[in-house]
Amino acid sequence: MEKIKVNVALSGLNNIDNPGPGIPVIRGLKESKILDVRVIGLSYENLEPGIYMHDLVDKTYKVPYPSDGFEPFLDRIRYIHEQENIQVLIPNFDSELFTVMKSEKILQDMGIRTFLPTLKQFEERHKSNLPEYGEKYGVKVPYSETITSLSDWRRIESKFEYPVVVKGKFYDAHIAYDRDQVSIFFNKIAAKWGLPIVIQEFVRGTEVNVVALGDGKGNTIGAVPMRKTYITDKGKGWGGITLQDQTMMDLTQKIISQTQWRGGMELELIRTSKNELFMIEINPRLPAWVYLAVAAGQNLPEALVLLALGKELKPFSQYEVGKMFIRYSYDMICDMKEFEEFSTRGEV
Amino acid sequence: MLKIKSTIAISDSGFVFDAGTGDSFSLNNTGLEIVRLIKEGKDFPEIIQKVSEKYEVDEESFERYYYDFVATLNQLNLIEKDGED
Repeated sequence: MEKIKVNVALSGLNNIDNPGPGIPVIRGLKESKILDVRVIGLSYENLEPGIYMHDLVDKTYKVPYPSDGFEPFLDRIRYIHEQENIQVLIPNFDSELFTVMKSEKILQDMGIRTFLPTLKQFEERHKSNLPEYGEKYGVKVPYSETITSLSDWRRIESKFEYPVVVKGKFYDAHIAYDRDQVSIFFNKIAAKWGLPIVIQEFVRGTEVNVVALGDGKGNTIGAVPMRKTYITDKGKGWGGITLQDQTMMDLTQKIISQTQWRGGMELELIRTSKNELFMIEINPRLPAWVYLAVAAGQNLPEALVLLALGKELKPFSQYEVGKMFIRYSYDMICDMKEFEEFSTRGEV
Repeated sequence: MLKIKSTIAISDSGFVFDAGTGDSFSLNNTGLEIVRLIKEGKDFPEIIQKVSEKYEVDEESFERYYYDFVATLNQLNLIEKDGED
Protein backbone atom coordinates (compact mmCIF):
# COMPACT_ATOMS: atom_id res chain seq x y z
CA MET A 1 0.00 0.00 0.00
CA GLU A 2 1.30 3.40 -0.91
CA LYS A 3 1.87 5.72 2.02
CA ILE A 4 -0.06 8.97 2.36
CA LYS A 5 2.31 11.90 1.83
CA VAL A 6 1.73 14.61 4.40
CA ASN A 7 3.55 17.74 5.55
CA VAL A 8 3.39 18.14 9.32
CA ALA A 9 4.61 21.24 11.17
CA LEU A 10 5.24 20.91 14.87
CA SER A 11 6.92 22.54 17.83
CA GLY A 12 8.57 21.17 20.97
CA LEU A 13 12.00 20.49 19.47
CA ASN A 14 13.66 21.28 22.82
CA ASN A 15 14.87 17.76 23.47
CA ILE A 16 16.65 18.82 26.68
CA ASP A 17 16.52 17.65 30.32
CA ASN A 18 12.94 18.97 30.48
CA PRO A 19 12.02 17.82 27.01
CA GLY A 20 9.23 19.03 24.80
CA PRO A 21 7.16 16.33 23.06
CA GLY A 22 8.28 17.31 19.53
CA ILE A 23 11.03 14.75 18.92
CA PRO A 24 9.09 11.76 20.39
CA VAL A 25 6.05 12.76 18.31
CA ILE A 26 8.26 12.94 15.20
CA ARG A 27 9.74 9.50 15.92
CA GLY A 28 6.22 8.08 15.96
CA LEU A 29 5.38 9.83 12.68
CA LYS A 30 8.59 8.76 10.95
CA GLU A 31 7.92 5.12 11.92
CA SER A 32 4.40 5.20 10.48
CA LYS A 33 3.56 2.48 7.98
CA ILE A 34 0.64 4.55 6.68
CA LEU A 35 2.09 8.04 6.47
CA ASP A 36 5.09 9.41 4.62
CA VAL A 37 5.73 12.52 6.70
CA ARG A 38 7.79 15.56 5.85
CA VAL A 39 8.53 17.18 9.20
CA ILE A 40 8.66 20.96 9.45
CA GLY A 41 10.03 21.98 12.82
CA LEU A 42 8.93 25.17 14.55
CA SER A 43 11.49 26.43 17.01
CA TYR A 44 11.58 29.32 19.49
CA GLU A 45 15.28 29.22 20.31
CA ASN A 46 18.44 28.82 18.22
CA LEU A 47 19.71 25.96 20.35
CA GLU A 48 16.70 23.63 20.39
CA PRO A 49 18.37 20.29 19.57
CA GLY A 50 15.66 19.24 17.09
CA ILE A 51 16.75 21.98 14.67
CA TYR A 52 19.98 20.04 14.08
CA MET A 53 18.50 16.52 14.05
CA HIS A 54 18.19 16.20 10.28
CA ASP A 55 17.33 12.50 10.29
CA LEU A 56 14.09 13.44 12.05
CA VAL A 57 13.38 17.06 11.13
CA ASP A 58 13.41 17.95 7.43
CA LYS A 59 13.36 21.75 7.80
CA THR A 60 13.06 24.07 10.77
CA TYR A 61 11.74 27.62 11.01
CA LYS A 62 12.05 30.00 13.89
CA VAL A 63 8.70 31.21 15.21
CA PRO A 64 7.76 34.07 17.57
CA TYR A 65 6.73 33.29 21.15
CA PRO A 66 2.97 32.92 21.72
CA SER A 67 3.20 35.81 24.19
CA ASP A 68 4.01 38.08 21.20
CA GLY A 69 0.36 37.75 20.14
CA PHE A 70 -1.71 36.15 17.37
CA GLU A 71 -0.64 38.27 14.43
CA PRO A 72 3.15 37.75 14.54
CA PHE A 73 2.52 34.01 14.98
CA LEU A 74 0.02 33.82 12.12
CA ASP A 75 2.22 35.94 9.81
CA ARG A 76 5.09 33.54 10.38
CA ILE A 77 2.89 30.47 9.84
CA ARG A 78 1.58 32.06 6.62
CA TYR A 79 5.15 32.49 5.37
CA ILE A 80 6.14 28.92 6.31
CA HIS A 81 2.94 27.60 4.71
CA GLU A 82 3.83 29.35 1.44
CA GLN A 83 7.19 27.56 1.44
CA GLU A 84 6.14 24.17 2.75
CA ASN A 85 2.40 23.66 2.23
CA ILE A 86 1.72 22.66 5.83
CA GLN A 87 -1.16 20.17 5.95
CA VAL A 88 -1.23 19.42 9.67
CA LEU A 89 -0.03 21.56 12.58
CA ILE A 90 0.72 19.98 15.96
CA PRO A 91 1.43 22.49 18.73
CA ASN A 92 3.30 20.63 21.48
CA PHE A 93 3.47 23.31 24.18
CA ASP A 94 0.68 24.13 26.61
CA SER A 95 1.54 27.81 26.27
CA GLU A 96 0.93 27.91 22.50
CA LEU A 97 -2.28 25.86 22.48
CA PHE A 98 -4.54 28.83 23.22
CA THR A 99 -3.11 30.83 20.31
CA VAL A 100 -3.47 27.92 17.88
CA MET A 101 -6.97 27.01 19.07
CA LYS A 102 -8.07 30.63 18.68
CA SER A 103 -6.60 30.64 15.18
CA GLU A 104 -8.11 27.30 14.17
CA LYS A 105 -10.58 28.78 11.68
CA ILE A 106 -7.96 31.01 10.03
CA LEU A 107 -5.57 28.07 9.79
CA GLN A 108 -8.31 25.90 8.34
CA ASP A 109 -9.04 28.53 5.66
CA MET A 110 -5.33 28.44 4.82
CA GLY A 111 -5.60 24.65 4.40
CA ILE A 112 -3.83 23.79 7.66
CA ARG A 113 -5.54 21.21 9.81
CA THR A 114 -5.19 20.75 13.56
CA PHE A 115 -6.69 18.21 15.95
CA LEU A 116 -6.98 20.02 19.26
CA PRO A 117 -9.33 20.20 22.23
CA THR A 118 -12.06 22.82 21.98
CA LEU A 119 -11.56 26.05 23.92
CA LYS A 120 -14.19 24.87 26.44
CA GLN A 121 -12.35 21.57 26.97
CA PHE A 122 -9.06 23.44 27.26
CA GLU A 123 -10.32 26.03 29.75
CA GLU A 124 -12.28 23.78 32.08
CA ARG A 125 -9.38 21.41 32.72
CA HIS A 126 -7.06 24.24 33.82
CA LYS A 127 -5.33 23.57 37.13
CA SER A 128 -7.22 26.48 38.63
CA ASN A 129 -10.58 24.91 37.64
CA LEU A 130 -9.77 21.37 38.76
CA PRO A 131 -12.15 21.20 41.79
CA GLU A 132 -15.14 22.16 39.59
CA TYR A 133 -13.93 19.73 36.93
CA GLY A 134 -13.74 16.89 39.43
CA GLU A 135 -17.23 17.62 40.70
CA LYS A 136 -18.74 17.94 37.22
CA TYR A 137 -17.28 14.69 35.88
CA GLY A 138 -17.24 12.64 39.09
CA VAL A 139 -13.45 12.39 39.33
CA LYS A 140 -11.50 12.59 42.61
CA VAL A 141 -9.22 15.63 42.62
CA PRO A 142 -7.13 17.20 45.40
CA TYR A 143 -8.58 20.36 46.93
CA SER A 144 -7.01 23.45 45.41
CA GLU A 145 -7.33 27.23 45.29
CA THR A 146 -5.89 29.90 43.04
CA ILE A 147 -3.95 32.83 44.49
CA THR A 148 -2.45 35.95 42.98
CA SER A 149 -0.57 37.20 46.04
CA LEU A 150 0.92 35.93 49.28
CA SER A 151 -1.73 37.81 51.24
CA ASP A 152 -4.27 35.65 49.38
CA TRP A 153 -2.45 32.65 50.76
CA ARG A 154 -2.52 33.93 54.35
CA ARG A 155 -6.28 34.39 53.98
CA ILE A 156 -6.94 30.79 52.86
CA GLU A 157 -4.04 29.02 54.61
CA SER A 158 -6.30 27.52 57.32
CA LYS A 159 -8.22 25.54 54.67
CA PHE A 160 -5.06 23.52 53.98
CA GLU A 161 -2.72 21.27 55.91
CA TYR A 162 1.01 21.30 55.16
CA PRO A 163 2.62 20.14 52.97
CA VAL A 164 0.89 21.76 50.00
CA VAL A 165 1.80 21.75 46.32
CA VAL A 166 2.58 25.17 44.78
CA LYS A 167 1.96 25.13 41.03
CA GLY A 168 2.34 27.49 38.09
CA LYS A 169 -0.56 27.98 35.67
CA PHE A 170 1.20 26.07 32.89
CA TYR A 171 4.41 24.65 34.32
CA ASP A 172 6.29 23.90 37.52
CA ALA A 173 5.24 22.40 40.84
CA HIS A 174 6.94 22.30 44.25
CA ILE A 175 6.01 20.77 47.58
CA ALA A 176 6.05 23.35 50.37
CA TYR A 177 6.20 22.32 54.03
CA ASP A 178 5.56 25.71 55.63
CA ARG A 179 4.57 29.31 54.90
CA ASP A 180 8.16 30.34 54.17
CA GLN A 181 8.49 27.70 51.49
CA VAL A 182 5.14 28.69 49.96
CA SER A 183 6.49 32.22 49.75
CA ILE A 184 9.76 31.08 48.11
CA PHE A 185 8.00 28.89 45.51
CA PHE A 186 5.29 31.50 44.89
CA ASN A 187 7.93 34.10 43.98
CA LYS A 188 10.01 31.65 41.98
CA ILE A 189 7.12 30.38 39.85
CA ALA A 190 5.48 33.82 39.50
CA ALA A 191 8.78 35.29 38.24
CA LYS A 192 9.20 32.56 35.66
CA TRP A 193 5.67 31.76 34.49
CA GLY A 194 3.49 34.57 35.82
CA LEU A 195 0.27 34.55 37.85
CA PRO A 196 -1.97 33.04 39.08
CA ILE A 197 -0.43 30.38 41.28
CA VAL A 198 -2.38 27.28 42.25
CA ILE A 199 -2.12 25.84 45.76
CA GLN A 200 -3.10 22.19 45.81
CA GLU A 201 -3.67 19.74 48.65
CA PHE A 202 -0.78 17.26 48.77
CA VAL A 203 -2.00 13.71 48.14
CA ARG A 204 0.47 11.07 49.27
CA GLY A 205 0.97 8.18 46.87
CA THR A 206 2.61 7.10 43.66
CA GLU A 207 2.36 9.27 40.55
CA VAL A 208 1.05 7.40 37.55
CA ASN A 209 0.23 8.81 34.12
CA VAL A 210 -1.84 7.98 31.07
CA VAL A 211 -1.23 9.18 27.52
CA ALA A 212 -4.46 9.10 25.51
CA LEU A 213 -6.09 10.32 22.32
CA GLY A 214 -9.76 11.22 22.00
CA ASP A 215 -11.57 11.48 18.67
CA GLY A 216 -13.82 14.37 19.75
CA LYS A 217 -16.91 12.16 19.64
CA GLY A 218 -16.38 10.54 23.02
CA ASN A 219 -14.25 7.63 21.81
CA THR A 220 -10.81 6.83 23.19
CA ILE A 221 -8.67 6.00 20.16
CA GLY A 222 -5.78 4.88 22.32
CA ALA A 223 -4.54 5.01 25.92
CA VAL A 224 -1.41 3.70 27.62
CA PRO A 225 -0.78 3.93 31.39
CA MET A 226 2.75 4.40 32.74
CA ARG A 227 4.69 4.87 35.97
CA LYS A 228 7.86 6.92 36.06
CA THR A 229 10.68 4.75 37.33
CA TYR A 230 13.34 7.45 37.41
CA ILE A 231 12.63 11.09 38.17
CA THR A 232 15.16 13.90 37.72
CA ASP A 233 15.70 16.69 40.22
CA LYS A 234 13.44 18.77 37.95
CA GLY A 235 10.68 16.24 38.58
CA LYS A 236 10.78 14.94 35.01
CA GLY A 237 10.49 11.26 34.14
CA TRP A 238 13.84 9.94 32.92
CA GLY A 239 12.56 6.37 32.80
CA GLY A 240 9.15 4.73 32.82
CA ILE A 241 7.27 1.49 32.37
CA THR A 242 3.86 0.67 30.93
CA LEU A 243 1.32 -0.72 33.40
CA GLN A 244 -1.65 -3.05 33.35
CA ASP A 245 -4.28 -1.10 35.23
CA GLN A 246 -7.95 -1.30 34.38
CA THR A 247 -8.99 1.44 36.83
CA MET A 248 -6.67 3.93 35.10
CA MET A 249 -8.02 2.87 31.71
CA ASP A 250 -11.64 3.15 32.92
CA LEU A 251 -10.98 6.62 34.35
CA THR A 252 -9.37 7.78 31.09
CA GLN A 253 -12.26 6.46 29.01
CA LYS A 254 -14.75 8.07 31.37
CA ILE A 255 -13.07 11.49 31.09
CA ILE A 256 -12.72 11.28 27.29
CA SER A 257 -16.28 10.09 26.80
CA GLN A 258 -17.85 12.64 29.18
CA THR A 259 -15.88 15.60 27.84
CA GLN A 260 -15.90 14.41 24.19
CA TRP A 261 -12.17 15.15 24.33
CA ARG A 262 -10.55 15.91 21.00
CA GLY A 263 -6.81 15.42 20.58
CA GLY A 264 -3.97 14.14 22.69
CA MET A 265 -3.89 14.33 26.46
CA GLU A 266 -1.84 13.28 29.43
CA LEU A 267 -3.58 12.45 32.67
CA GLU A 268 -1.45 12.91 35.77
CA LEU A 269 -2.79 10.80 38.63
CA ILE A 270 -1.80 9.87 42.17
CA ARG A 271 -2.56 6.35 43.36
CA THR A 272 -2.85 6.31 47.15
CA SER A 273 -1.96 3.35 49.38
CA LYS A 274 -5.71 2.63 49.53
CA ASN A 275 -5.60 2.24 45.74
CA GLU A 276 -7.68 5.37 45.12
CA LEU A 277 -6.88 7.46 42.06
CA PHE A 278 -6.72 11.26 42.34
CA MET A 279 -6.44 13.31 39.19
CA ILE A 280 -3.89 16.09 39.68
CA GLU A 281 -3.70 17.44 36.16
CA ILE A 282 -4.81 17.04 32.54
CA ASN A 283 -2.23 18.19 30.03
CA PRO A 284 -4.04 18.99 26.78
CA ARG A 285 -1.44 17.49 24.42
CA LEU A 286 0.71 14.42 23.92
CA PRO A 287 3.48 14.25 26.55
CA ALA A 288 7.25 13.91 25.98
CA TRP A 289 7.07 10.21 26.90
CA VAL A 290 4.58 9.46 24.09
CA TYR A 291 7.17 7.38 22.24
CA LEU A 292 6.75 4.73 24.95
CA ALA A 293 3.15 4.32 23.77
CA VAL A 294 4.40 3.99 20.17
CA ALA A 295 6.88 1.29 21.26
CA ALA A 296 4.14 -0.46 23.24
CA GLY A 297 2.01 -0.75 20.09
CA GLN A 298 -0.05 2.44 19.95
CA ASN A 299 1.29 4.98 17.50
CA LEU A 300 -0.72 7.87 18.88
CA PRO A 301 1.12 10.64 16.92
CA GLU A 302 0.26 8.80 13.68
CA ALA A 303 -3.36 8.39 14.82
CA LEU A 304 -3.54 12.10 15.68
CA VAL A 305 -2.39 13.10 12.19
CA LEU A 306 -4.85 10.67 10.59
CA LEU A 307 -7.68 12.16 12.67
CA ALA A 308 -6.55 15.66 11.65
CA LEU A 309 -6.74 14.52 8.01
CA GLY A 310 -10.36 13.47 8.64
CA LYS A 311 -9.79 9.72 8.55
CA GLU A 312 -12.03 7.37 10.54
CA LEU A 313 -10.00 5.30 12.97
CA LYS A 314 -10.62 2.09 14.85
CA PRO A 315 -9.50 2.41 18.48
CA PHE A 316 -6.37 0.56 19.58
CA SER A 317 -7.39 -2.47 21.61
CA GLN A 318 -4.09 -3.40 23.25
CA TYR A 319 -0.58 -2.40 24.21
CA GLU A 320 2.44 -4.20 25.59
CA VAL A 321 2.64 -4.17 29.39
CA GLY A 322 6.10 -3.86 30.97
CA LYS A 323 7.60 -1.87 28.07
CA MET A 324 10.22 0.50 29.43
CA PHE A 325 11.92 3.69 28.35
CA ILE A 326 15.17 5.12 29.63
CA ARG A 327 16.20 8.59 28.46
CA TYR A 328 19.79 9.45 27.84
CA SER A 329 21.78 12.52 26.93
CA TYR A 330 23.99 12.65 23.88
CA ASP A 331 26.41 15.24 22.63
CA MET A 332 25.35 16.02 19.09
CA ILE A 333 28.07 17.67 17.04
CA CYS A 334 26.66 20.50 14.97
CA ASP A 335 27.90 22.67 12.16
CA MET A 336 28.55 26.30 13.09
CA LYS A 337 27.27 27.29 9.63
CA GLU A 338 23.84 25.86 10.44
CA PHE A 339 23.71 27.67 13.76
CA GLU A 340 24.68 30.86 11.97
CA GLU A 341 22.02 30.34 9.32
CA PHE A 342 19.27 29.64 11.85
CA SER A 343 20.32 32.58 14.03
CA THR A 344 20.37 35.05 11.16
CA ARG A 345 17.83 33.78 8.63
CA GLY A 346 15.51 31.92 10.99
CA GLU A 347 15.41 28.74 8.96
CA VAL A 348 17.60 25.76 8.25
CA MET B 1 -4.76 -19.31 51.54
CA LEU B 2 -2.01 -16.93 50.45
CA LYS B 3 -2.40 -15.71 46.91
CA ILE B 4 0.21 -13.94 44.81
CA LYS B 5 -1.37 -10.94 42.99
CA SER B 6 -2.62 -11.77 39.50
CA THR B 7 -0.56 -8.94 37.99
CA ILE B 8 2.72 -10.55 39.11
CA ALA B 9 4.96 -12.28 36.57
CA ILE B 10 7.88 -14.39 37.78
CA SER B 11 10.67 -15.45 35.46
CA ASP B 12 13.01 -18.45 35.80
CA SER B 13 15.84 -16.11 36.80
CA GLY B 14 13.90 -15.00 39.89
CA PHE B 15 12.93 -11.63 38.40
CA VAL B 16 9.52 -10.54 39.70
CA PHE B 17 7.52 -7.90 37.82
CA ASP B 18 4.27 -6.35 39.03
CA ALA B 19 2.47 -5.15 35.89
CA GLY B 20 0.03 -3.16 38.02
CA THR B 21 2.59 -0.97 39.76
CA GLY B 22 5.65 -1.32 37.51
CA ASP B 23 7.72 -2.50 40.50
CA SER B 24 10.31 -5.21 40.02
CA PHE B 25 12.32 -7.34 42.45
CA SER B 26 14.92 -10.12 42.41
CA LEU B 27 14.51 -13.39 44.31
CA ASN B 28 17.27 -15.80 45.22
CA ASN B 29 16.74 -19.48 44.35
CA THR B 30 15.08 -20.39 47.65
CA GLY B 31 12.78 -17.37 47.50
CA LEU B 32 11.87 -18.25 43.93
CA GLU B 33 11.00 -21.84 44.91
CA ILE B 34 8.79 -20.69 47.76
CA VAL B 35 6.99 -18.03 45.73
CA ARG B 36 6.33 -20.62 43.03
CA LEU B 37 4.87 -23.02 45.62
CA ILE B 38 2.63 -20.24 46.96
CA LYS B 39 1.60 -19.41 43.38
CA GLU B 40 0.69 -23.07 42.82
CA GLY B 41 -1.73 -22.73 45.72
CA LYS B 42 0.23 -24.80 48.24
CA ASP B 43 -0.42 -24.03 51.90
CA PHE B 44 2.18 -23.90 54.68
CA PRO B 45 2.17 -27.66 55.58
CA GLU B 46 2.63 -28.60 51.91
CA ILE B 47 5.38 -26.04 51.45
CA ILE B 48 7.31 -27.18 54.54
CA GLN B 49 7.04 -30.79 53.38
CA LYS B 50 8.44 -29.93 49.94
CA VAL B 51 11.26 -27.82 51.37
CA SER B 52 12.20 -30.44 54.00
CA GLU B 53 12.48 -33.09 51.27
CA LYS B 54 15.05 -30.95 49.50
CA TYR B 55 16.88 -29.02 52.23
CA GLU B 56 18.19 -29.79 55.68
CA VAL B 57 16.11 -27.43 57.81
CA ASP B 58 14.20 -27.94 61.04
CA GLU B 59 10.52 -27.07 61.09
CA GLU B 60 10.79 -24.36 63.70
CA SER B 61 13.50 -22.42 61.87
CA PHE B 62 11.77 -22.77 58.53
CA GLU B 63 8.48 -21.54 59.96
CA ARG B 64 10.20 -18.41 61.29
CA TYR B 65 11.95 -17.73 57.97
CA TYR B 66 8.80 -18.48 56.01
CA TYR B 67 6.61 -15.99 57.89
CA ASP B 68 9.38 -13.39 57.74
CA PHE B 69 9.50 -13.86 53.99
CA VAL B 70 5.70 -13.71 53.66
CA ALA B 71 5.66 -10.49 55.70
CA THR B 72 8.15 -9.02 53.21
CA LEU B 73 5.99 -10.13 50.27
CA ASN B 74 3.03 -8.43 51.96
CA GLN B 75 5.00 -5.29 52.63
CA LEU B 76 6.05 -5.15 48.98
CA ASN B 77 2.41 -5.44 47.99
CA LEU B 78 2.86 -8.74 46.14
CA ILE B 79 0.09 -10.65 47.96
CA GLU B 80 -3.65 -10.27 47.25
CA LYS B 81 -5.12 -8.14 50.02
CA ASP B 82 -7.81 -10.74 50.91
CA GLY B 83 -5.21 -13.55 50.94
CA GLU B 84 -4.85 -15.29 54.31
CA ASP B 85 -2.75 -18.17 55.46
